[in-house]
Amino acid sequence: MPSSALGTTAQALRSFWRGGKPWFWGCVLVAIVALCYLGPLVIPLPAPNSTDFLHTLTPPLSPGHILGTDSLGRDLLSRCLYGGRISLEVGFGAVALGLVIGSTLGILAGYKGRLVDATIMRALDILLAFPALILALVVATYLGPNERNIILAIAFFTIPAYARLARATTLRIREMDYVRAARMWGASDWYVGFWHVFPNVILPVTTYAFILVGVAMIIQAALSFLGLGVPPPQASWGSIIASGQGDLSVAPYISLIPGAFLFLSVVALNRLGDNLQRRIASG
Amino acid sequence: MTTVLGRRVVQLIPVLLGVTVLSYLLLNLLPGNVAVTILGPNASAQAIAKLTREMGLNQPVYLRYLHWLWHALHGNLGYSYVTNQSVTAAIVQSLPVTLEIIFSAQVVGIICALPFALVAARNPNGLVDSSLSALAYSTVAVPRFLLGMILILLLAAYWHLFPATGFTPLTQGVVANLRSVALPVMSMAALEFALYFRVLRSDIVEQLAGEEYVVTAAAKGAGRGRVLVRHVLRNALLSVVTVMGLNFGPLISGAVVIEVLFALPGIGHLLINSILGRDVVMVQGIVVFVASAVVFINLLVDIIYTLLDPRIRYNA
Repeated sequence: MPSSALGTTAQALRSFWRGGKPWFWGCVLVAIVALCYLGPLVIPLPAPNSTDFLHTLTPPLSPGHILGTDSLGRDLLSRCLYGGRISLEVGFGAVALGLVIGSTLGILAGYKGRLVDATIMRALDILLAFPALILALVVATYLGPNERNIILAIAFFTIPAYARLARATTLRIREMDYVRAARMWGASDWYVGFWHVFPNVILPVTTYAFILVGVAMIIQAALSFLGLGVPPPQASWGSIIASGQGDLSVAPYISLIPGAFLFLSVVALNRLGDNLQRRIASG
Repeated sequence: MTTVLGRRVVQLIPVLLGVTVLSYLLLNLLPGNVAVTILGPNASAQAIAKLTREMGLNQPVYLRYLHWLWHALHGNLGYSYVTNQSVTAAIVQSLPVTLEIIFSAQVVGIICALPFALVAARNPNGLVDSSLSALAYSTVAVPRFLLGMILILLLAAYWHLFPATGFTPLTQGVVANLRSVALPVMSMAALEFALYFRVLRSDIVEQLAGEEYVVTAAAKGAGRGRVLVRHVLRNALLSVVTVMGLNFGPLISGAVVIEVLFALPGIGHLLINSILGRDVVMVQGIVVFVASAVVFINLLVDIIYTLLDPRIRYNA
């Protein structure tokens, strides 16, 4: 390969992964979300939990079952689309919850300083000592595994991350001239917090969210694998991957197809988040 | 340096106390009687009353906590009423397995990441760098258990290179032991490779581009290899140590999943079995142990960091 062609390939690869195409990964993400929510309305699919013992372990591209069926004869495409809803909802839900609680705590700590700051940050240090999956495992077990509780359980690990980010941004904004000016003419804490600090914190915090949603989706998949995700027969990508474990050598696609859905979503979220963060950093 | 260390240790105490309070309360302030949780819904009233008395559940929760903490400080994390085993003994028994796979995964990850990071950093944003970065970014998006399943499929089911599941202790032969942990370690090391590759690569690129000691060394006639090894790598070690510390929690999380997938009798497997068996005392003991370990390892990293980089002593 001539060196110029090599250079072009490198450039294409680079722009693919790093460069200025956030819309590409945005489109991938929108496509996955649309497929999960609108797909079942448009494509005629069997119900995700309806079993068909005459057509078990049908390989992909079979008539009637584009992605094949599992060991109970359930349509894999249908399960992946409905399961994707759960995975996406848990991912986005947990991070949204963590974002609201964590940012509020972070803004409060950064703006009030002193004792409030010390108390909040030490309390979050305690939370940070618990590995994310172990915290989620314990919380999910004792609240009882259903979608809402799993969102709650996973939200815990995002709170300290968000609080730190929001606190750091708040500390920077607090010293800005316009904030000092607002305080000088007697603006209340609430006024400054809402009109000056909050709008500045919201941008870095939301771009960070994309990366965290990916992490949350992986944690949720791990919970499902460990048998502590949404209760069966309800599916999530993680639980479908796990359900293929027994048939791995005869029908690896049962695990690999939902794995591909999960992989693509997490990569899209990561690339999108990375890209937006870089844009903010460069101004 | 002693004052910095002293302050860190003093800060440690409230965090550790908080960790114990949180783990204790999380599992003890739940609605319902812990004795019923352990014995199941069909237990007789007498059995429940007996266990309630034995576990001291009729006392106020803060007294129970203090009692438990007192014993925990003496190394006694309680007694499991499900497996009839001391919690501390169960942890000590399963810890070596977990440590072996965590440690090996870190070592394999770093050793593999280093040469690739050096190659990638030679020509930042070139084809090799872009491909390796793409690979590293993709690896992060695969759940460890899926990677483990793929490895089982390829290396155990198709090619029979390694056993699919199970653990052979070191006492029954080094080779057998290494074969039994090979797949779990590979499944975990892939993610470690991605992590360390990214850290090392960006660190080396940054140093080669701008640090004055790199320019000075080159100006004094040091060859590229010497600059890389003596100056750049030595400094890159700092970021590796930081990541190693931050990485302990995620590694334990990963070990839970991997131990269950490969049926390894480690601490993660113990945790999941205890959760599924509603063994409250055991779960509590493991959670406190793991969280305290995370806190202590972070302290250890801070100390190592101070030793490696003298500048930190004065700035802290």
